[in-house]
Amino acid sequence: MNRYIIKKTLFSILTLFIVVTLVFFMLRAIPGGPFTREKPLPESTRERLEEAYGLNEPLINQYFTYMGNLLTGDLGPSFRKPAYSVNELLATGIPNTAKIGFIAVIFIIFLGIPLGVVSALKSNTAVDYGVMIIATIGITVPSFVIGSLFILLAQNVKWIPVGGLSTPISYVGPVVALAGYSLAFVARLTRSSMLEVLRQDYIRTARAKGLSESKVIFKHALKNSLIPVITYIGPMIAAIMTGSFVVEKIFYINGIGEYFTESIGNRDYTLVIGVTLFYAVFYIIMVLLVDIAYSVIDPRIRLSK
Amino acid sequence: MSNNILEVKNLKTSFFTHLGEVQAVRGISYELKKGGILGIVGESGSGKSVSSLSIMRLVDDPGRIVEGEIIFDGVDLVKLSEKEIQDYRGKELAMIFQDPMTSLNPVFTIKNQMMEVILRHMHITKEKALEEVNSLDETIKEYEKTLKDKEKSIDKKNNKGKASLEAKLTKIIKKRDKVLKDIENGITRKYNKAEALERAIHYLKIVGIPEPETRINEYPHQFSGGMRQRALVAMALACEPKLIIADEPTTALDVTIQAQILDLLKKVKKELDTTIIFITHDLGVIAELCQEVIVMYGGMIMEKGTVDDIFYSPQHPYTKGLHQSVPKDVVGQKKRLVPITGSPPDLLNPPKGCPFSPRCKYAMQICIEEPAPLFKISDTQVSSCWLQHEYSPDVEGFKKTGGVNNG
Amino acid sequence: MDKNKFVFLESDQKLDKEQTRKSLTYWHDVWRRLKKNHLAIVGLVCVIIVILFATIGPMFNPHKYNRQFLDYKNIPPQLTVYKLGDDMHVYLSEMNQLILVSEDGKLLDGFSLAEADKDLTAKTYTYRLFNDENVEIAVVIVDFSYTTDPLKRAEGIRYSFTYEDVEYKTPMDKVWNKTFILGTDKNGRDMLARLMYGTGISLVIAFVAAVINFFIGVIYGSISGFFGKNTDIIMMRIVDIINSIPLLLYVILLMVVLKDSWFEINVLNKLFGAGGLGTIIVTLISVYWVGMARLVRAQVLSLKEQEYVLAAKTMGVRNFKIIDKHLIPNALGPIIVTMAMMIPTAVFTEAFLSFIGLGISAPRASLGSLANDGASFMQTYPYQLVIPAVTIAFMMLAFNFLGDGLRDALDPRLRKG
Repeated sequence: MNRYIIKKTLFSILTLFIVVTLVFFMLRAIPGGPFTREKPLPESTRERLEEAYGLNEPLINQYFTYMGNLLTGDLGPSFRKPAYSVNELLATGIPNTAKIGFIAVIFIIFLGIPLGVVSALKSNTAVDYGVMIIATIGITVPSFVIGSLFILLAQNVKWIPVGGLSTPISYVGPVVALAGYSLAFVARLTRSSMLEVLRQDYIRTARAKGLSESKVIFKHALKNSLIPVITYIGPMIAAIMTGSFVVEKIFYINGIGEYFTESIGNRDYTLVIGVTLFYAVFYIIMVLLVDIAYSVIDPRIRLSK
Repeated sequence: MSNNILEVKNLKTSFFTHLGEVQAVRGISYELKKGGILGIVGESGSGKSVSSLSIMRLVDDPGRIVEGEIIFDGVDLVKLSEKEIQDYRGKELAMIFQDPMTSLNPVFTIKNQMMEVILRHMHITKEKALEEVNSLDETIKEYEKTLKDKEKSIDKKNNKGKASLEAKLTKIIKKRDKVLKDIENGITRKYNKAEALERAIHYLKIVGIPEPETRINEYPHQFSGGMRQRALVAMALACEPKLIIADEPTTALDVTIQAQILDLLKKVKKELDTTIIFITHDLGVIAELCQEVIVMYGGMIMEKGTVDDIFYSPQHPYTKGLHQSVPKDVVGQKKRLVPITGSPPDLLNPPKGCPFSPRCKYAMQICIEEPAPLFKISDTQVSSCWLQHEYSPDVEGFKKTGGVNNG
Repeated sequence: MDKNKFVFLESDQKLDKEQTRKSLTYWHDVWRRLKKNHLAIVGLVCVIIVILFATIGPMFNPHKYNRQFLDYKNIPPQLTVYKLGDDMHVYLSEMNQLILVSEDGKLLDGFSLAEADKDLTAKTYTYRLFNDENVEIAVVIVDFSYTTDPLKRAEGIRYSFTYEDVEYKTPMDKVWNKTFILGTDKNGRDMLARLMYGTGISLVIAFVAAVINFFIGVIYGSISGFFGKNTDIIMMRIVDIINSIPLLLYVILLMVVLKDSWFEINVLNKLFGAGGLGTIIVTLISVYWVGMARLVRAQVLSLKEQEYVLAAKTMGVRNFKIIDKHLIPNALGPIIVTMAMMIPTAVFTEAFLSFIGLGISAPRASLGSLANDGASFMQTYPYQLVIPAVTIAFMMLAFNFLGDGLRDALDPRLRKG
């Protein structure tokens, strides 16, 4: 078990290394640099700036300098926001992104799974059809549409702020836009998984033991039916974080998703790598957590690894 | 009254699918004496599994018991509410299923799954409960003595302790009185975890699982198929049910393991004196284990009798056909196997008459018009074939009777 | 009891109800099961409708997707028409363009508004209509002071029209736009034409990406699965690494890198035309092939071990027949389903990319870029967002239903009665 986690962690670090390298060189391949703007800077100014940030050195040297700094946890200065380092920018952005992301995940887990269970238990009834219709709509309507409609609503209603995260009510829009798809997906997945499990022989065994229906469902069926759901939830959380690109744009939230889209346009190399790295680390941790959760819930996995 | 543990009367179970009503069991009746082993034999789709699931009231949606009574120990199981039948399942009635690989929940330990049923149903015996009362009495006496001691000593420091001691004492007395009253009413407390674990290990030992104390902590996937079936048998036995239904418990197992499980069932039967219904499509297993046999086909009983009746003097063409399609005397002279041609009837739209008539070489006009009643062959044997009717032509090997058995 | 009934029957007299079901080929069986699934059939019909809409739809639409009608910017599908005089109908757009319309909603001509005719103090604009010979034929004065003048504000209207000295304050009726059924966008382009075009582009992206993905996945996956050992380990590690980067992040980076690069200008634009179509396809492929490769590898691995393949070989079945009867039905099912599901995913991703401004660039359009354009004016012109959004949802729904149905139909294990 421990060996498995160590192995996974080492592999994750290797992956991160490759990601950073890839992104570093990919960005340098983009035409234009951080100091080429619509209104060109005087040649001398640009050269001075590039020298200050070490951009005039050979690419490979830049790479090693960057990687060296990275090892000490320094993500470098932001090229386009000279007053801030990337670390500082991330520190201001991550809390906002994390806040809506966290609430969205909580919603998905504590609403999506119960909805799926209820739907499975009441399968082929009005309740089931109702939940599944809503879930299907949730899957088919893109988050930016949900978000835009929310903004439209906010513009016509006084008590909902149009953007930002100033009041509790202002969280509703971003969270719904962010959680919509995954919530619907989790509900559908839980339902089908639950239905599948309820057909299994061991459920009949449990019933034959005289266990109450609630014990059969919540002890024997639920744990088994959560296995595929958990597999989905890890990558889902990461997807929710990346989903914040759009949501933060629509709702004017100062999160890292907003930084990412902005910095890519600006060729703010260090900030792009910083944000990418954050996402990648986050994603990998999530996948690792899922692996662990998976082996806790399913003993067959635990011992085969 | 009678010494029948189980009386099934005119049981009909159907599945209401979107294609229509599939009549899986079409009015079967039989009774089973306490301590007997009844074999139900038939091919796939003959309704043998569904009839036994009906006894457990475990027929899944869209299946439903349409009609009939299942009198178990004087109680009609069909009329019980879902909650009431739950008290019977696992406690009075237990079931062993066909596939041990899928019948255990993969995410819980054997211990968990064994203890679950014990904790659900088992109450301690009256003797044990009385013993506990006695030990409570002793504690009470002890307390009273300390109290008296304290009263004697004039030391005021101890007064505080005295109050709490008195409170404890009244609590214990109350508890004892309640337990005593419960015992009078025939109620004892449920097993606690330690007792349940002990009992679980005990039964695992009975079914022959080596080192049950350690192996009980393992998960089903760490058990082999035979071991899993043993664990399932142990689970079924754990509350000492009056009736065990074994639904093809050996079909999914290797031949050597099959024999072991059969031996185990025999041993259990002898030691615990339970009643067993054994469902199988394997005539050999029936001969090995059972005293009485029911032959089912197309959701109906074709023939019923003792093992000797069914094996040495079968009176139904289907039973004869079954015998001829099984290799018997392996060392003896060579005999060609005779298959029963055709396939089982479509229960969505079952034949009006005898379900076997389309495949029967003795089929008569009456057979396709009307199902035969159960003709009484002897005191122990009945057969549902028109050949037993006095009007029918004589066929060698088939007895004729005038009487019709309605039971 | 009738004695005559106790006679043996001939074998042909027996009511043999034994069912002789026709033995169906795999694809017949799939089609039979798909047909039984109503939702899947609805999905299939909707998919066909969407495809027809995008392919032959433009033939029935008089407007082209890139034609700009500068007189008719941001005209909604529904017009509030005022009747001036005896037989003149006009519509004033949100952009303060005055348009001459027919009674039933056809756009006839635009009024001109000279700078000199704007009276900014009185808040009145004077619109003039000229005929082909540039002769002034009508003058309409629009009074905008109703929102600013405290005396007039009580009337609760935004403007009034004055034509031949008569002031008109109440609209005649709301009529549907007959010239541009779904209205026009900010550049005066027909929304319907753009929607058809955008749907087509989205479909092309999705289909091309799915098909190419299929081939890459099959080749990569079968090599990895077939050779096994070290080849397999290395190839799958690569897949693992790609898999552990959030896909969307990777897509965005790749889009940015490819944009305006040498590769885009010299290869992709030549293949798919300008506007970033090729870039999106390449990006989607480079991300989603991973899933397909994994799936194919798993299928190849499990098929190699299957006993029925061995059984078929033992019985001397020819290789071609094994592939046809065993491997394809068993492996292709999940692959087809994955492909079917990849199409809505690709549409979704493309829409997402276009929405954050990285997708198709004007004058070309995709559903995502249409929604993105619409989102910026949704307060004033909600139809510009709603129309592409509804179309995306409709497509997603259709493909999802079809994909779900296909999965049920192709997987015999999931057979439901």
